[in-house]
Amino acid sequence: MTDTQVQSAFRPTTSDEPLLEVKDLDVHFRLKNGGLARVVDGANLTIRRNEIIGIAGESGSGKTTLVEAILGINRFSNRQLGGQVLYHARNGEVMDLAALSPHQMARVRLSEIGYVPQGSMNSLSPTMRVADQIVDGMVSHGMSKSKARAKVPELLEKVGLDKRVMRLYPHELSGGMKQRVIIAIGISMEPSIIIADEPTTALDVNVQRRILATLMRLRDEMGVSIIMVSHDVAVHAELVDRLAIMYAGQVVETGGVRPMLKAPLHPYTKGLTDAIPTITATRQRIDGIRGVTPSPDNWPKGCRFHNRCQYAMPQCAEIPPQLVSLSDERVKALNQVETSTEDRMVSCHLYGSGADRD
Amino acid sequence: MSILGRLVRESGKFKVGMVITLILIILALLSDWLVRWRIGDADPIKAGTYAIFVDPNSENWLGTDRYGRDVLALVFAALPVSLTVAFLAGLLSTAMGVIVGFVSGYKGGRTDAFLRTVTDMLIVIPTLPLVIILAANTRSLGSVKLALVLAVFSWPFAARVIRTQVMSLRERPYIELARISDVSDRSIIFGEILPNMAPFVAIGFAQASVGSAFALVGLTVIGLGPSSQMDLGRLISEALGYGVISMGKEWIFIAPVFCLIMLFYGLALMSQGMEEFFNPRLRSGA
Amino acid sequence: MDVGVEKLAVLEEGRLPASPDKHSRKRRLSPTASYILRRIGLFLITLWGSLTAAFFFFRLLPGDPIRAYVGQLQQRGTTTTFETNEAMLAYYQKEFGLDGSLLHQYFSYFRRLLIDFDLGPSVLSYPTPAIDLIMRALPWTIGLIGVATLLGWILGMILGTLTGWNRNRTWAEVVTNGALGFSHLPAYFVALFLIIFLSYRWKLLPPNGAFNTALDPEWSMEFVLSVIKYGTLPVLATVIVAVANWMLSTRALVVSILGEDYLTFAGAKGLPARRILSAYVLRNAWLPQIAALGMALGGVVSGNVLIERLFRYPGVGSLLIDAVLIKDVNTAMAIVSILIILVLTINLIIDLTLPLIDPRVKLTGAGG
Repeated sequence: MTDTQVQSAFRPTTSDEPLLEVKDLDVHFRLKNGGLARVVDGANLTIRRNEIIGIAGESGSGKTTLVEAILGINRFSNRQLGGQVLYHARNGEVMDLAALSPHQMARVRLSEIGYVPQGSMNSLSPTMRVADQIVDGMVSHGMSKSKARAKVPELLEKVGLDKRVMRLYPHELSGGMKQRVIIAIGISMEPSIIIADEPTTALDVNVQRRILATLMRLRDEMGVSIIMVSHDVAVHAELVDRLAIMYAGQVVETGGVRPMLKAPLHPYTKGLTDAIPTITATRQRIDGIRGVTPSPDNWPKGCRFHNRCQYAMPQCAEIPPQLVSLSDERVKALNQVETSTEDRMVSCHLYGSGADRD
Repeated sequence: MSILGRLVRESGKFKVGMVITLILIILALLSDWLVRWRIGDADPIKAGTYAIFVDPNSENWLGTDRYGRDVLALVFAALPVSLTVAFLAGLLSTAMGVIVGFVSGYKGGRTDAFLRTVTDMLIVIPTLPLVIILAANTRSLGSVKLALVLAVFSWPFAARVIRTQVMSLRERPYIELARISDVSDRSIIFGEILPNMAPFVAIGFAQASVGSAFALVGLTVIGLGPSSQMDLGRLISEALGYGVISMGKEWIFIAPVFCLIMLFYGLALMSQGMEEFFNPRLRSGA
Repeated sequence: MDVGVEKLAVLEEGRLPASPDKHSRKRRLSPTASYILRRIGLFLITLWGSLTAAFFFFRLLPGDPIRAYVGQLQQRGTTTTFETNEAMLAYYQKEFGLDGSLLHQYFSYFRRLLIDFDLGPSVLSYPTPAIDLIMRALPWTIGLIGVATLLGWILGMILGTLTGWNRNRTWAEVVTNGALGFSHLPAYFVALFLIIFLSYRWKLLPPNGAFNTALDPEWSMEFVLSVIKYGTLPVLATVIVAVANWMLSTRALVVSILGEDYLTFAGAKGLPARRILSAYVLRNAWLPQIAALGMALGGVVSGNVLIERLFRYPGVGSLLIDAVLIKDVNTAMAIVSILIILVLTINLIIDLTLPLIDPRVKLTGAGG
C-alpha cells in the first residue's frame, strides 16, 4: 500500500454495470444580451462501477460545468438544464439526478457522490477546525455527532494524514494536506462516486503524484468510482481506466485509456495526445492544435471541430456527427493497432458516425 | 480620456454622481450672476433688504430669513464658498495622502510600518475635536486655512487607498522585472507606477472631498466656521441659532441642507462608481 | 511560524514527528502570547504617539493660553487674591502645567494625566478641575455612543447578512438601495430631520437634554425612563446612519463570501442552507466586522460631538464645544486626552479578544 508507487500492481476488474449515465445533457446559460451559452450541449457519458474515468479537454470545453451539473451545483440563476443524469443506486433503484429538487439533491451529495472541487486551496472555511468541517457533512446526512466525531481519525488516516490534523485550521495546512482533508470529507459517507475536478492542478509534482496514488488506493479499498477531471493528459495516463474527451460541450471520444492514447481516433484527441512530450520521442516541434476553442454562445455548425481539423471534409461543416460505438475490428482496421477489450466510442465523420442517423 | 468615457458609460453611479457634482459646480461658477438675477445689486448677506421671515412667494422664492435676506440668494452666494473649501481640502489631503501612501507602499519595511502606524493612529483617534479646537483658535480663519486644517486630519483615508494600490502594483511582474533589471527608482515610479495610479488618486480625491465636506459642514453647523464668509453650513447654523425649528420655518435651512446633501451624494457616488469600475471585485458587492 | 511549517511537512509524509523539538519550542513564544505582546506594544506606542501629538498640538495653538485663561477668569468676575499680575500668571502657569521648559511641561503633562489624573482647573466652571467636569459628562457620552454603536452594528450585521444572502430578491434590493441613500448622509442632518418631525411636528420626543429636569437624578424607574425617552432621538440619529453603513459593508462581505470556493464546497457536502449561513457565512463575515468596529470608533466619537451639540446632550462633546467657545484650552486638552485614551483602550480590548474567536489573527499579526 505504498503511496509512492503510482501504478498499482493490480487493478480490480471494472464491471460493465453502469453506475451513472449522462444522457444528452445540456447545461445552457441565458446571457444578458439574449444569447444562449450552450456550455454543455448534448453530452453523453457512462460511468461504470469501480472504475476511474478521466474527462479531458481544453479549458472552456465544459468539463467543470458537466461535473457540477451531475452534482447539482448551480452557481448562476440563469442556468437551464436538459437531458438526464441516471444514477444507479446500490439498492438497484435508478434516479434521474437532473430532475431532483435541491433538497433531494442535498441528500445525494456526500452519501452517493463525493466531490473534490477545483481550487481546493480555498475549499475549506478558514475559521473552522478541520474536524468540524469533516463532521458537519456527516451530521447533515443523519449521523449522530458523537459517531461522526469518532469517525474523523479513521478518515484522516485513510487519506494519509496524521489524526492530529483534525484540531488544526486550514491556514495551518499545506496545499497537499488541504487536498487530503477534502478527499477525507468526500469519502466520509462512503459514496459510490467521487468527482475530482482538477484535484492536483495547484500542487507541485511530488504532492500531485502522492495525491493521485491516494485516490487510486481509495478506489481499490473502497470500491468507489472516480470521475477525474483534468486538462492534463499525463495525469489521466497515470491514473484512469477509461478516458472521455470533451470538446465544445460534448464528449467526442471515449475508450480505454491505453488504446486511446496509443491510437487516438478523433482528430482533436490526436491533437491533445501529440501535445504530451515523451522522453523517448525525437526532438520535434509540438504542434498543438490550430486555432482557438470556439465560444459557447456560437458553436460552429456541423462538427464543432471542423474549422480546426486538418482532416475536415465537406460534410463536417454541415452534419453534426454522433457519438457511436466502433467494433474492435473496426478500430483495429483503422489504426493497425492491437485490439482492446474496452469499447470505443467516437463522434467523427471519419469513422462514418452520424451518417446513419441524419 | 477614453477611460473617462467608458467610466461614464458603464457606471450608472459615476454618471449620476458626476451630473450632480457638475450642476453644483456650474451653479457655484454662476453664483454672482444668479444672485443678481434674484435680488439685483443688493448684497445678499446684508441684513434688512426685505421684510423678515417672509414665506416663500413669487419674489422671494424661498422666503426671507430673520435678517430680511433672500434665502435663495444667500444659498447662491454661499455655495461657491462651501465647494471651494471642500474641494481645496480634498485636493490638499489627497496630495498629502498620495505622498504618504506612495512612500509607505513603495518603500515598505520600517518606513511603511512607521507611516502605517501614524496613518492608522489618525484614523482610530477622534480627530474632529482637534479640528474644532484648531478652527476655534485660529485667528482670521479663511477658506484656505480652513481647508488646510481639514486636510491635515483627513489625509489618512487617501493614504490608505494609495498605499494598497502601490503595494499591489509593486508586486506585478513587470515592476519586479524593472526593479531587478537595474532601472532607476525614478523611472519605475514615473514610467510604470504613476500612470497606473491615476484612477486611484481620483478615488482618493473624491473620498477626501467627501470626508472634508462632512467635517466642514459639521464644523460650520455648530457655528465654528470662518466668521468672515457666508457658507452653507453657517446658513444652517444661523437658522438653528434663532430657532427656526421651533417657529416651524424650516424652509429657511432646507435649501442649504439640500445642496449639501447633493454635494455628499454627488461625490460619494462618483467615488463608489470609480471604485467599482477600477476594482471589479467590488462590483458584486453593491 | 517556521516551526509550524516544519511540523506540517513531516505530517505531509503521513508520519508523526518523533518528538517535538523542546529546545526550539522553549525559545519561542506561543503565537498567541507573541500576538498579545505585540498588540500591547502597539497600544503603548500609539498611545504615547497620539498623546505626544496632542500635547504639541495644544502647545502650538496660536495665542498665549495663560493670558487667555487669566483674561477669561477676570472677564467672568472671578475674584483674585494675587498681589501682582506676575504672581497670578506664575500661579496659573503652574496650575495649568505650563511652567518651566517645554520638556518639563511635556513630562509634567504625562505625569498629571496618567498618575495624578488631574490636568488642572477648568475655566468653564473655575475652580472645578477639568477632569471632574469630564467625569461628570463621560457616562452620558459612553451611554449614547455605546447604545448607538452596538445597536447600529448588530442591526447592520443582521440586515447586511439577510440582504446579501437573498441578494436576488426584490425586497433585498429595495433595502440595499435605501441603505445606500442613508449611508451618504451625515448623522447630524438626520438629527435635524428627526428634531423637526418627531419633536416639533408630532411632539413625540423631547428635542434636547438628557432627562426631565423636573426629576431628581436617582435610580428610580421614572428617571431611567426619562433618560431613555430623552436619549431616543440622539441614538436614533446615529443608529440610522450606522445601520446603513454596517449593513452595506456586511452585505459586501457576505456577497464575496458567497462566491468563495468553501461555500460551493459546503453546498457540495449537502449541508442545509441554514447550516451554511450560520457556520460558513456568518462566522467569516462577523469576524472582520468586529475588527472594523474598532477602526470606526474614532469617527463615531467625532460624529457624536456634533450630535450631542445639536441635542444639547450633557456629554463630553457638548462640554468640548462649550470649552472651545470660551477658549478654555485646558479643558479641551483634557477632553482630547481622555477621548484618545478611551478609544485606544477599547481598540486594544477588541484586538485582544479577536484571537479568542478568529484563528487567523495570531498569524497575521497586529497590523492586520
